[in-house]
Amino acid sequence: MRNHRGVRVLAVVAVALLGMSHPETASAEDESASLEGTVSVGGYGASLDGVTGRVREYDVDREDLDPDLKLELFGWNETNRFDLRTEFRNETELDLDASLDAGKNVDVKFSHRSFYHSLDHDLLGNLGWRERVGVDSLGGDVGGGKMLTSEDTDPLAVYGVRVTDTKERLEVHVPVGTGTTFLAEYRNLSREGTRQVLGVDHCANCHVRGQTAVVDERMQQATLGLSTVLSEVKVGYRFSVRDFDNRAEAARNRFMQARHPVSGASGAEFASRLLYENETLEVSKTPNNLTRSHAVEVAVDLSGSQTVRGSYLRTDAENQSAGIKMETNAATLAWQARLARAVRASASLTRRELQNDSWELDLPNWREGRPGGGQDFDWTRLSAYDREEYLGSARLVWAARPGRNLRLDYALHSTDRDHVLLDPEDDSATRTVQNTIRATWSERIAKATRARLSAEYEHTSLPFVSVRGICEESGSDVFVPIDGGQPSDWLYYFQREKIGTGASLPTKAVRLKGNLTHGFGARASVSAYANAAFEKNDDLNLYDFERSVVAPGFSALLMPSDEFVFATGVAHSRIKSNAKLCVTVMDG
Amino acid sequence: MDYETKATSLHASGEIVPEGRPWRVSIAGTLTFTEGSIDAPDVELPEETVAIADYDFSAIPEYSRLKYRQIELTSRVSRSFSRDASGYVELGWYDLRDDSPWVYGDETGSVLVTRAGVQTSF
Repeated sequence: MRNHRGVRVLAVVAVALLGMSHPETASAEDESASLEGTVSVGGYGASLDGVTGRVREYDVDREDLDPDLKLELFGWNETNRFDLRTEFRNETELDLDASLDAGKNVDVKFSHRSFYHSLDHDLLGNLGWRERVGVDSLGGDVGGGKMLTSEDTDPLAVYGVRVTDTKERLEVHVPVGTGTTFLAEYRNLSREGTRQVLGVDHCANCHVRGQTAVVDERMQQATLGLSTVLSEVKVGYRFSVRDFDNRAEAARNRFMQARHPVSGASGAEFASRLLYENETLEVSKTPNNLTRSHAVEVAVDLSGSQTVRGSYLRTDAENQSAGIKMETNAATLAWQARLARAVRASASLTRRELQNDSWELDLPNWREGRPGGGQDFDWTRLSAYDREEYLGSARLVWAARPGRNLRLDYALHSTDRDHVLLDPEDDSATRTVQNTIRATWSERIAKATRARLSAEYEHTSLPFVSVRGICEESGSDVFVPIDGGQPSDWLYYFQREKIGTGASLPTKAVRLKGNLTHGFGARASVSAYANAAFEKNDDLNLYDFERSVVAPGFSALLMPSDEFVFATGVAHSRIKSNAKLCVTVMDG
Repeated sequence: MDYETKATSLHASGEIVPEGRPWRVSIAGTLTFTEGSIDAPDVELPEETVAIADYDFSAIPEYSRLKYRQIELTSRVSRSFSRDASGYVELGWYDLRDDSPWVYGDETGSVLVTRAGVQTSF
């Protein structure tokens, strides 16, 4: 339904409000204090056609009349000042920013954002395939047993969440001594609505079921900090606690009784291969988390315009739903200095260590009670987070002359993971080392022309890869039938061998950026830019991973007179990458 | 298997503030084309004898394709009635054409937004 009525009402309301406006009555001003502001009162209406969740992903539009209210206030007196800006459209969308400087020692800030975010609804219509094993006498396809089916249990659902983000900040400069500051921050972020979750039955992708799940999440974060200055030394401490609470009841998926995909037969053989069947279980549940962190920072001003800064951070995070804890310890040492009148340098080094609890998986024995069965696949999940990292950086900036600037950057990122194998040929290879160098040159190459060029080369030794994680091989060269009986033409999944190493991270990367701006007097300017990246990993055994990015753009600004301004531009990007696709094969 | 995404966006905006007149008119527009798809993969099948592997992947490029054309046009006219009071009317047209409704269904849709009101400063 089109909202012609709403538009007419809007016009009437606008005219009526205009007649009611008496700006004189809002004035408030004397010599020692002032209050200034702007009030905007209006209406908002929309006419909808088709599906609007994508075209207006972050807006609530409806064929109704909503208010369009804005208020901006700025006030001050001899000791205090405040400002307030708020915009309200409906019960879902509200923006509010406020700040208060109470005297010289107290600063308060408050902000609130609430909006709606439309979420995708995968209709699963394309999620289906079936193996063809032959052609029948009429020329039609004969389907085999390997197949993927899907169903959407709530096809008319419209998914989305209302996001509410509120932040408060209080900073108090203690009026005793010098430079002592107390800081308190609080943030409340919530998401409420519905989303789609997928349940996957039986073998990896045999049957996918989409259904609606309630979203009701709240994240609260509080921070307390204290810092002070002792001569040339600045010392600070900060404590932060973050609580993520998922208050929604998890969606539940009905895992069907295992049956042969073609004949429909059910029996002990199928059931013996599954962890569960004919059972309703929770799926896609986001766990509750609690994180506490302590940070200490010391900064020292040395002679010769040099500053040395050191910090230590300890973080304890707990997955409260599973009872898993992760501990992070990080120490940083940083230095910056002006080496000469036109030369500045800085460097930093961080050591970070993460340790995460392991998790014991207790599984029922595979094919228990069946001939050749009873294999125990219990295992301990050792976390990929467990690691020791070093992050280093160095920068040299040379301002050769006014308008010319040359910057050299170097970055090191070393990650030694405790339990992740990175090289299929070397079981001891667990360390990734990434070195990045970048040169950036910017210059005013003519009176009204500025240019900026940046070139970066990155080399990564043993990036994170899935070692022997893709592409199966029969393993027939080493195949040994299971004691107790195994049909000669059956090959169980655990007897297969994956041989491929997959990756979506490069070992070598070149990234280029360029920008050119030219002004034609004060009334016109043009700007062009081009970004490009070429990344490659040729250390893989089955394929070379490659990724390329090309993104040029152009913009122009024209102001032919004081009464008219015009701007235009075009931006383009093309990203191309590749991956290896191998077909998995159902066991049996 | 190659995956490629492309996005092209054109924008233009202008504002007229006639000298000595109470009117102010602005208009802005953006036209965006985005698309992405997976090329037909060259799949290596396991060297198995236990099952027939007769797969056809030729439809993957079409079924994986996403392609949108989006237009955003906004215009605002405001008029001052006095030094401190003005009125405004805003129109916004947002239109999306879904040229490959494979995954999320046909997401084609448009929204015409109208705002009107008065503003006063003090």
